[in-house]
Parts: sequence; C-alpha cells; structure tokens
Amino acid sequence: MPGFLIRRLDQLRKRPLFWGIWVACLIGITIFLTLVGMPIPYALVIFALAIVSILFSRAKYLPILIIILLAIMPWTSQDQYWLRVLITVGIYIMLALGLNVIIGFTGMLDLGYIAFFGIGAYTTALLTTHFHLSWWLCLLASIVVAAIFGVLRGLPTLRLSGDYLAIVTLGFGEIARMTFANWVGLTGGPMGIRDITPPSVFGFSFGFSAQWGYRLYYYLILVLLGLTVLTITNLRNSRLGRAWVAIREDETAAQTMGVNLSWNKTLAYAVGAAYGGAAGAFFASFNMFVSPNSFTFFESAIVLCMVVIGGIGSIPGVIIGASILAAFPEVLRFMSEYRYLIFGLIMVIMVIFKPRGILPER
Amino acid sequence: MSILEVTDLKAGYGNIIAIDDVHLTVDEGDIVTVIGANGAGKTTTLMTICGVVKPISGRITFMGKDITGLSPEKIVKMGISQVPEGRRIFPRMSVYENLQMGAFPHKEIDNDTLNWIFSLFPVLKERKNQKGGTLSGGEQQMLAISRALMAKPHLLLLDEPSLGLAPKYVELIFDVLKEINKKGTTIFLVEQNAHMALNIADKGYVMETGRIVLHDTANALLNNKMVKSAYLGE
Ligand SMILES: Nc1ncnc2c1ncn2[C@@H]1O[C@H](COP(=O)(O)OP(=O)(O)OP(=O)(O)O)[C@@H](O)[C@H]1O
Ligand SMILES: [Mg+2]
Repeated sequence: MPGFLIRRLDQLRKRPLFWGIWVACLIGITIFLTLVGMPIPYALVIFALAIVSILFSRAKYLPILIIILLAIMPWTSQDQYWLRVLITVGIYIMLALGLNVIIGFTGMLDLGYIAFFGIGAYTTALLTTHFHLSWWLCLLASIVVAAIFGVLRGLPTLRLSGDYLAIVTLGFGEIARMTFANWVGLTGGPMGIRDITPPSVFGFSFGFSAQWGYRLYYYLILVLLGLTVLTITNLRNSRLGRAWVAIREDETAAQTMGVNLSWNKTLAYAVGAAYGGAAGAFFASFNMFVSPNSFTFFESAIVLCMVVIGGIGSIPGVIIGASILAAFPEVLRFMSEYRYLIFGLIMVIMVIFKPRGILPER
Repeated sequence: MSILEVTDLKAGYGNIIAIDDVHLTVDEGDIVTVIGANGAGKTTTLMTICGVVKPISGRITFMGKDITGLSPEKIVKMGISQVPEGRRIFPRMSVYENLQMGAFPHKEIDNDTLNWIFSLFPVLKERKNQKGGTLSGGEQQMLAISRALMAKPHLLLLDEPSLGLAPKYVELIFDVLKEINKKGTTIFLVEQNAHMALNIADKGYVMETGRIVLHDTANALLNNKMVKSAYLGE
C-alpha cells in the first residue's frame, strides 16, 4: 500500500467520529438520491467518487481515478433523464469555474455573469443556423465573442468597486437579456432560436441517438470540463494568476509590485467571460434551442451562490458547490414550489456556519 | 552622486494637501531617513515617489531620469521598491508566492537574490509554504522586506519597519537594513523611532505638517536640541 494511503488511513483512524459522520452522511445522500429517482448505479458511482476523493486526496493520480469513474458512469444505466441532469450539472460547473476567475481569484463582484453564457449560446446558435459552421469553430467563436464582451464591460468599470460594480454588472446582465428578447431580427426575440445543429465529429452527429442517448454530449462536456480545470489550475499558478490574487488581497500593494491593475482586471474579465462563452456554446447545441429565459438574473445569482458556497477561490470547492446546487432543483423536484425555500435556507445556514465555503481556498 | 532628487513636491488626496514644498536628496549608497510625528506626511511622500499618489506639482528624478507622475509599474521596473507601512503582505498567498510577487517586474524569481534573502531571514525558508497571514508580526515584516528585495531595487523605500515590533525584532531588522545597504542598495527610511533610524542613517530629514523643517547629517541631528526634545525624548 502506498505511504500516503497509510498516512491517510491513520488520519482517518485518529478522528473516527468525524469521519464516521462524513461517511454516514455520504451513505445517507446516496440512499436519498436513489429515493428521488436517480438510478442506483449513478448514485453508487457518485458515492465512489466521494470516497475516492477523500482517500486519495493527496495522490497525484486522483484526477485519473475521477476521470475513469466519470467515464464509466453513463454505461452503468440506460436512464436518459438523469444523464441529462448530469450534463446540466457539468454546464454549471464550467460556469462557476469561469465566474470564480473573476470573483474568486481577482476579487471583483459580478452579478451579471450569465450574460456571457447567453452571448456564447447565441453566437453558436446563430452561426450554426445561418452559416452551418462546424461546431468546433462555433465554440471558438463563442469563446472569442464572450471574451470581447468581457473586455467591453470591464473597461468602463475598472475604477468601480463594491456597490457600484454590483449595479453595473447587474445592469449589464439585464441589458444582455433584454437585447436577446427584443432584437427580434437577430435573436428571434422571446421565441428564441430553435433547431440548432448538434455538434459532430468526422460527420458523426452528437444529436440524441437511440443507441448512444446523451452519452456523446456527456463525454463532450466531460472533455470541456477537463480542459477547463486544467487551464484554470495552470492559470492560478501562473504569473498572471498570482497578479489576480494579489489584486484581490491588496490592490495598492499589488500595484507597487508592478501589477498593472487595469490590464490584469480586464484580462480576468475576458478570461472569466471566455469560459462562460464556451459553456454557452455547449448549452446551445445540447439544448438545440436558446431563448432569453435561460439567461435571467436568477441564473447569475445561482452561479454566484455555487462559487460562494463551494469556497471562493478554491477550484475543488467551486466544483463541489456547483455540483450540489445544480443538482438541487432536480433532486428536490418532488417538493416542487418549496425547493427554492429549502435552497435559501441552506444558503443561510452555510453562510452562518461555513462562511468560507464547503472546501475553502487553502 | 544623488540617486533620488525630489524638488518642490506637492501632493495630497482630493482637496487635502498632505505634503508641500518637499525637497529631498538621497545620495547613492547612503541610508537616508525621514523622521516625523503622526500625520506629518511621511507615508504620502513615499507613496508619491512610488507613483501611487499622483503629485500636484514638483519634480522627482531617479538616477537622472524624470519619473514624476509615472505609473507605479514603471517606477518599480526602474528600480524603486517599497516596504509599505503596516507590511501589507498578501495574507492568503504562501510566503513563496509573496516573494514571487516581489519579483513580478522580472517575471522570474532570481535564485541568487532568493538565497541571499533566505540567509538574511532563515525563518522564511522554513515557512516557505505557509500562508503569509499566518506569520507573526515580526516574520511578516521580514517577508515585506524580502518581497521588496526580490525586485532587486537600486533604491529601497521603507515605511516604519519597526512599527509594532518587539525591541529584539527591531534590532534584528535594523541590522539587516545595514547589511542590505552594505551590499549596495540605497535606503530611504521613514521612521518614528528616531533614535534607531538616526543611528544607522547617514543623513536625516525632519518632517512636520507636510513640510521638511530640518535636514542635516544624522550625527548632527542626534545632537540637535530641537530633535532631542521633540523626537528623542531627552
Ligand atoms: N487616503 C487618504 N485620504 C485623505 N487624506 C489622507 C489619506 N492618507 C493620508 N491622508 C492625510 O494626509 C496627511 C499625511 O498623512 P501621512 O499618512 O502621509 O502621514 P504619516 O507621516 O505617514 O503619519 P504616520 O506616522 O501616522 O503614518 C494626514 O493629515 C492624513 O490625514
Ligand atoms: Mg505613515
């Protein structure tokens, strides 16, 4: 047995009550998930993911184990509904990771982040329906267009912070949504854009197929997420990422170290927006339909909650936060109207007892 | 040869004028100190030299080049770095990341500088991976000085490095300042601890309500009646 595993088990043995409660909770959650209708194999894989993450949290090959588990997951069941839910969770994880660059790394507030998701989604929707471009080109275009809007929104707000920044970003989100809703000639207005062409590789379409179901989409979002985690982790540990964190910690001190505030803040907006745009491109072709309703302030607020609850600035934290909150409405579907009440309650409890998030930045 | 020359400098915040008519000369290789009471304008003077506070009028020349009104990024690249008042280390970055931030103008950490810093402050080497915010006050001051040194400055500005430190640490910090100076870095030191500052300095300025009221060699100031009664408590 590798040394770190022995040490890990030793740690676990030293605090049996703490870890006992943890494992009991995980088992409870797994049973609960199956009770609300999740196929048992999916619930078991999720349980396995949690256990593996705890046991191998220090191991270099943890990402590989996680990827293997995630990769076999869709083959353990024929259920399509819950696969769709998993894909949606993936989209939210990507959004939360992108927003985390802006609020987590750089410390700037953003209440209109969903606008970049919308811009990405509409870019792909328009390009596939009007020009029949390949999906990968659309993805690239969505990333670039969203990043450009990130810069455009960033530049005039560089000197703002706190309440003022909150209002401007909120306004930007609403302006984007209203543009989607009212520029009927381009966006189809409230009716949205339908029949978006699904992505394809070597002429092999990703559209729902009887044989594959949503599995191809699942793997696509898995790949996109993998790239997201990889690039964002590298960014955080790069010179640029350090400049962002330094700005968050102390703007003036950062400035005296030679960090150009305007440039680095603008880059943070652009990079954060780019991930939003990529998620939007995926969403448009997965849903095959976009309309302004998907890009309301409520969505911005939810993504913000994912980052805050998971742990601002912490990549694994944000992933966990997004997974939990994104799955929440589905898991509590049986409670219909009350589920957002519960949602709010959990937010309040979290902020009181774990204000720095489930898995805070170390 | 003077490395820094400040002429008739006026600066402030909004309508408030914090410093006016400030003249300073720092010679290459010297330790020069500015002493003064709370609110005299010492921090404002340093921040204006660094480019964080924009001057209203006056001129700042560094190594023969006019740097008045340049951005802080340009100024640190030219070779002025600062140990700010209250340390202002990045609390949730590791000690090593803080040092990397100090080296920001050079893109990469310079290993010779790093080893030198670790020899000046061995405790920082031990605490390399610890979060900056978890260091003790004295260790944070060491980190703030080290971070500024990572920029390999020609001129090191320090704003009250002895503030809030136990006498043992104050002595250690001042010893290190002498050593840094011996290695060729010019030092411009703002202090309320006039005794310690004048003891290591070559030259001193006394600042009161935004103006320089007195300047002389450090030795002369130590024996000056007004300095003795107002700043040395004798
Ligand atoms: N950010 C600011 N906004 C407005 N006024 C300021 C600001 N910073 C300093 N001042 C004012 O400028 C004057 C000089 O302050 P400064 O901080 O330069 O003094 P100091 O000599 O460094 O004092 P101390 O020894 O207490 O640090 C003070 O009257 C102060 O109130
Ligand atoms: Mg001061």
